[in-house]
Amino acid sequence: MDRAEGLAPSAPGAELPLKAHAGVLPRARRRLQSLGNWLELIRNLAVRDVETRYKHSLLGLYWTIINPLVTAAIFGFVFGVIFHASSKPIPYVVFVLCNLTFWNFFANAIMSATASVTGNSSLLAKIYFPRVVLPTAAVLARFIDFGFSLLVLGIIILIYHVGIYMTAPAVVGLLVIQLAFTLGFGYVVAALNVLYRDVTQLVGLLMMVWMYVSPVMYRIDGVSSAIQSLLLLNPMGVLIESERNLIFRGRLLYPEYIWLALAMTAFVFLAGLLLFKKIEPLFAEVM
Amino acid sequence: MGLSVSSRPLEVEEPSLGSLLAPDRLEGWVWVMAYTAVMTMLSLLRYRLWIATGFDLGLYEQGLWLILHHGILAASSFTGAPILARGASYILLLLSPLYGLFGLGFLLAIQAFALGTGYLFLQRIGYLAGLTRGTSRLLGVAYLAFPTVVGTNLFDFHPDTLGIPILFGIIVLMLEERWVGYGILSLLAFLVKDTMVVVLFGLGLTLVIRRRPLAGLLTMAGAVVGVYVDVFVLAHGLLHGNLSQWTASYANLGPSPQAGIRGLVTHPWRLFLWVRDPRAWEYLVIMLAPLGAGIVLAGRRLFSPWWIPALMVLEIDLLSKDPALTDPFHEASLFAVPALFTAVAWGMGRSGNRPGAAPLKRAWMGLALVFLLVTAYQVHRTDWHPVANVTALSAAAKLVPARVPVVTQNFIEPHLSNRRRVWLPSQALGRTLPRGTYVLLVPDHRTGMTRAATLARLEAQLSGPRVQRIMDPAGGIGMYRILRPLKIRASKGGTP
Repeated sequence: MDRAEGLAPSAPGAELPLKAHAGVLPRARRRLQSLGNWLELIRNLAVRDVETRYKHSLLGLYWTIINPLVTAAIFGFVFGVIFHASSKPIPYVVFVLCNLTFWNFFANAIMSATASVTGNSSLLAKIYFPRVVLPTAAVLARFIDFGFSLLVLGIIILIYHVGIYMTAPAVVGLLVIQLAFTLGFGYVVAALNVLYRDVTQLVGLLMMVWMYVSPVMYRIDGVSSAIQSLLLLNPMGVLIESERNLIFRGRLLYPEYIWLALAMTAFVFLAGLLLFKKIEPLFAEVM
Repeated sequence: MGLSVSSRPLEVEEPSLGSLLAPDRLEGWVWVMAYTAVMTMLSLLRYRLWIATGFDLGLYEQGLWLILHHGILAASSFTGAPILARGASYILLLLSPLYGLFGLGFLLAIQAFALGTGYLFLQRIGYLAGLTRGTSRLLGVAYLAFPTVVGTNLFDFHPDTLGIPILFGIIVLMLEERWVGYGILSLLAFLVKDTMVVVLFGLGLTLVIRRRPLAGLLTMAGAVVGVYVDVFVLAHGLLHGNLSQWTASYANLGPSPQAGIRGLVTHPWRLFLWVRDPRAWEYLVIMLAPLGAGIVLAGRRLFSPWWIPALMVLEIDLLSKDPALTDPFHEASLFAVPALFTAVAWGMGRSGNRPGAAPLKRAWMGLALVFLLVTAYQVHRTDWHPVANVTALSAAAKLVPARVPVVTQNFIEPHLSNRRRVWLPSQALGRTLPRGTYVLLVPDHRTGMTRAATLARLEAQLSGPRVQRIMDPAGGIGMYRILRPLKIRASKGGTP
């Protein structure tokens, strides 16, 4: 919005708009307090999401384990046995399960975030709260599922006697980047889905294509350098490849691309937030 | 020129997390990160696909590696002098441990981010100059698309880029009259590059004209002291009498910086020797015309003291005998950019009334068209074609052991620069290559830095009992290992 009233500040006799700001520390304290309130709301919504998803289901939370295990088994058979895809030095099942663990968090979180605002229209009508907590809670709910999947991955690694490196804990740093990227993308699809319900279908297709473009079922160092350079422009590809390499190889093979992934994540996160905040005033009209 | 404060009731802003996420706050950062992501991606792709037209990336990578492993006085094999002697970029001392931790990707990303932050500063400058938000936004986009900004970002790594947020910060603090911060940033600016003193002197002069004589004179005095320290103290310590850097660019002014400055003071007409050079006018037109035209088309006054620091930087480039310095896409012009855009913002906004819609639209459509043309020209003349066999070259580069001396072309040397001795083919001529040196060449891929004749002369001498051929150049990549010291002749004729 322009400073429509009055003269430009550089003009003689101009007055700057007067706003009293509290000091830096009191403002930071209030913002932290506000963040605390938001986090409590997000946590409650995320837990509610997880509970609701598995309520009245026989296997409940075990579905978070069964899904990736079955997918890994199918991929392991098709790509590992029939097509003899190479994943040395680790067994192909472990390779694909590891990749799927990280990929499924992203894909499932995006699918949940897409419907997070439209699926809570009754809540929106009843009470005011920052709408951005809805997709955030949806993503964090999937993060809880991801935690369980990591446990399963750990068990499979033990069963196959695959060694892991001391660099494995560094995956946490990459997970933070992945979480930020997922949140940003989630804000975009959640906001757009309110205006255009086709977004749900589109996101499903996009996730399918994106999975094949990311090194989930294949190793990226098995392709030519030129194609590698293009595939590594995909931030999810870089993150999955790097997370796996930190666990099973003890180093990053493409460290320069982490910085590109970081820049893209910052852009997606901020752009997602901006888009969500711009469309937010239309939620009440449309829903 | 002060601003009055009235006795209106104060509006109290209630800070919350939501106010941090307000769209107008987020938008600027979105532009910055979009630019960072795009430019990091393009420069990384050029690195991975072995595309390069210069050698600055390898030069600074080696320089940072040398600082980390061999100290600040370790000589670069490209220049024969410590890396700090190349422009006195003391900021490299801060960068070297970060480079050691985070690698090349960090350099490319931080460069893109530093240049991208100019958008945010221009929003602030636009506000202070009285521009509407839409006009400030367009100004920011014009900055991101400006030839010098794009060219500097795409072509390798330059520590000059880290001076852009500092310069913009100095200008904002000048406008807001926050002198403590202004002083601190001005001191920090000296760390970036020696030519920063020119901009600071110009900004000091601008302050004097804007009726802030004390701040202005102090800034100018600081700049003069900065020149003295750089030229007479630090350069002596680092260069040990080696003035090849000065000679390469300013030999036409005199044999040394002292002689050059003396010559300009005693013969001021030398400042205009470039007027007969058409290339100089091409340079000035690309740098100044689109921005100046924007102000004229908007019906605003063209002249303001903000042009002074920018014109001083351009003059330094015009005085040089090195044609690269008058390339509008070269980093040498980068320090002029913040003052140039401030001059535009001030010219557009300096009015008691809101700018009329029609002239402003004309101004910006004209600007957009010129920028698109210049950008298209830049894309057209930028080398984008990769080597024929990227995979084979990647594999060959991995075969070169760490720390051994290497002779290679400019587009390969960023991948092999973490060692004491890396030479371009032209540097290998006339040199005795020590035992254990690797030579890695792609004879059919030339980027303009190495002439075909130079490559051919070098290759012709890489045979015999002193040389082991590891890869046959007939396959597109030639790789050799020197078994015994081998003198490479610089001139034609004879057998090795």
